[in-house]
Amino acid sequence: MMIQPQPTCTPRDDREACGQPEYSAGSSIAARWKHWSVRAVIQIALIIVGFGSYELVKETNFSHLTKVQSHIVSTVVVGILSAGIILRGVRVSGQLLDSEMALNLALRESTVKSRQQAELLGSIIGRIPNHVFWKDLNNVYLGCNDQFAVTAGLRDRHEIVGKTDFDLPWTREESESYRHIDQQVMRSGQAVLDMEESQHTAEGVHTCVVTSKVPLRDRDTGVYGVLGIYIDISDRKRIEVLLQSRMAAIDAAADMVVITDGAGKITYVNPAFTKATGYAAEEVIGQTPRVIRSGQHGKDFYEAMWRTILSGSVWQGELVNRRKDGSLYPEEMTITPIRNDSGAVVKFVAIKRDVTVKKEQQALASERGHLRESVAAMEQVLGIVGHELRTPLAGVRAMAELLLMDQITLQDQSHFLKSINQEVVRMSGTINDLLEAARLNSGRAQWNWSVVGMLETWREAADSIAPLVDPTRVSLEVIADPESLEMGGDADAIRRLAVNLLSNAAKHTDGGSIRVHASGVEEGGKTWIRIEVTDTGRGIAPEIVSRLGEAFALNAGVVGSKHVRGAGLGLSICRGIAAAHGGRLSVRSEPGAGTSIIVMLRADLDAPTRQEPEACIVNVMPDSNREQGWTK
Amino acid sequence: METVLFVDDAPGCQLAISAALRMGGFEVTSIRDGMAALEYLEDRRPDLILLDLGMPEASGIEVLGRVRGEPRWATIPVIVFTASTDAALRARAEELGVQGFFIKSRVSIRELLAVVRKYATGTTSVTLEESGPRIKRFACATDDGLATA
Repeated sequence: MMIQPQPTCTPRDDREACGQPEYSAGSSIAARWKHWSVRAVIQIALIIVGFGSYELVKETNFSHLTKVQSHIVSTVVVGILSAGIILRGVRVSGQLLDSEMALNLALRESTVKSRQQAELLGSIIGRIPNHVFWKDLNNVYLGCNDQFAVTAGLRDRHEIVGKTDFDLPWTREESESYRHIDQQVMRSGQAVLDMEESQHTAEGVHTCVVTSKVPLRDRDTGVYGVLGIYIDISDRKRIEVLLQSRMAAIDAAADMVVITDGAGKITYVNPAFTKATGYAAEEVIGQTPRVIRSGQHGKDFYEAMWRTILSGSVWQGELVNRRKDGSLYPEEMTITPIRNDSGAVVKFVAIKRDVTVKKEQQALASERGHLRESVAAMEQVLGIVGHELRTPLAGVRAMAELLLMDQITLQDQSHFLKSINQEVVRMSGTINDLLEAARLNSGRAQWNWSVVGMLETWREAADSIAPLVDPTRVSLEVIADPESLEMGGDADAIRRLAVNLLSNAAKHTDGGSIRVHASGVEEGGKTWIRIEVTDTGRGIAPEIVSRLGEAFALNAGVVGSKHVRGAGLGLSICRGIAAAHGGRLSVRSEPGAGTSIIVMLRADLDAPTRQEPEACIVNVMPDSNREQGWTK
Repeated sequence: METVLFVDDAPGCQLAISAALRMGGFEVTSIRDGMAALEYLEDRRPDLILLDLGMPEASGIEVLGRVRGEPRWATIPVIVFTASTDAALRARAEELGVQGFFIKSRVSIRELLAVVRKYATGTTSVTLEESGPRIKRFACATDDGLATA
């Protein structure tokens, strides 16, 4: 951040003007000083040596030489000496010249280095994504990098020199604010870091920037300007605003939002979660959603959920959770796994909704629906009851009227009375069945639970319907396997069921057999009694099988039979009894070949179930998935 | 003597109404299902048909439709005598054409005989009409509304 530019000039442009002259001035003084002193010492030394040699030559045995000759010799010596002196001087000065050149070379090298450094600095400043500028004490720009120049709409960064903020595309308010902060930084000498500002760019875009400004300081003159560096965070800001608005939405959402890490530890819950569960965010953050488990779902449930979300799939379902106050509530939940860039699941986002009210409404709506159905059914039942009772009543009324007439014969009287009696018995049977069916299907029936022996109960039932069967044409057989087979249930109700099924079989069977086979079976981890009542009677047409168990189906024109009359209440009663014993009825029938009714009753119950009787009849058509039908 | 074809599958009604019609001076043929009734009509023409609607084999409405669709039988008077209070069934019967519509157990023998006599003979019996209340031609009273929905 703290970039120190060349104090008084830009490195590259003013190098020759300010750097080198200073250096060369200092070094030539030193060279000159060396030059003169060396030369003087050497020359003095040479002169002394030279004169010494001349005297030596003069004193030596050169008497045979003429005066002229002696003079020449001495002159030559002096000349040589002089030449030596001169040469020496030249050589010394040459050597001095060499060192001066080396010095210059070093200087040049250092200059190149500093230029390289300056270029590096320039290229760094140019290439960083940040915008960089510097201004003098009067807020006049001294320089900037390319990014800044682009934003400011300049073709070249050198154009910035001499400009002020008012010359640039920013708004007046922005310019004033920039200058104000510049002044503050320069006056206080304190940097201002990471402040958010707005900036209107040359492209006409309003951007958001984060700026830091530092004072430019010189050792001697103190603060002489300000250096600013900033980055455009508009994109980041936009995302931030978006995130903020999303976060606000999540916070305000009516649905609960729970975010966990990959290990299932809660990292966030929204206020709706707190409202629904009573747990504050800080109470559950760091915990797993196990905190709100109700214990109503088994291990398998959660394992299946984890398998789904760990595989990266969305899990959706309904579950029951526990509030802080211990109360339970139903919720609908969607868990979405969040993957990181490398595809690993790292977070889970759960959206949950308390569906208590919805459930209540659904229950109410379904209750309303049931009520409406019940009312409709009751009206239908009343209509049919009316029909069922009106027919015998009409006969009874007509006969009573005739009996009151004088002209009636004694024989007719006895006929009519017999017939009236029959009709009344029939009507009373219908009314009893109707009341019984209504009681069993109301869910308010009273049950008398005990251990019920199968063989004994079904034999009693078979005995009671025996008068309906011609023993010479139809055989009646009851088998319990084992004979000691027994179950928990209402003995009277099971006897009633047995009587109804057997009397139905008897009424429809003119020849062959009626067979009861009771056995114990295990199914779905429970113990059942399976009773099959098979006859070789006329059978039931498929379209009628599908309506069995509907009260009055027989007489509403569905089962038209010359031989049998009845309100069709028998199977409806059986259905209610089977429901209370957690069981069901299945029917398999082939017209002309006979009918099998299979009763499955729970053997291991010690109280009646609240099962809906509607679900208790499974109709099985002939030849359609026979085996499946029995175990369904 | 006028002949009445009485079609009804209910044993009590069969016995009582047949006896009453005989006492009223009619010759009665009692038949227990619609198909047999149509067979009977093939070679005999009764003066009136007293018809139940809820019967096995061919229903009363079927019989009525066949009778009204067959020129030979179309003019035979038909009186419905049924336990059904179904308004739609009644509307259908009236559409096909009936001379009377009585709900079982709501009508006395006297009333029934009077209407039968009226349509079977084309006259009315003074004695019966005097002693009975005024005959409602369509006897399905509003107090039965619950069952007609």
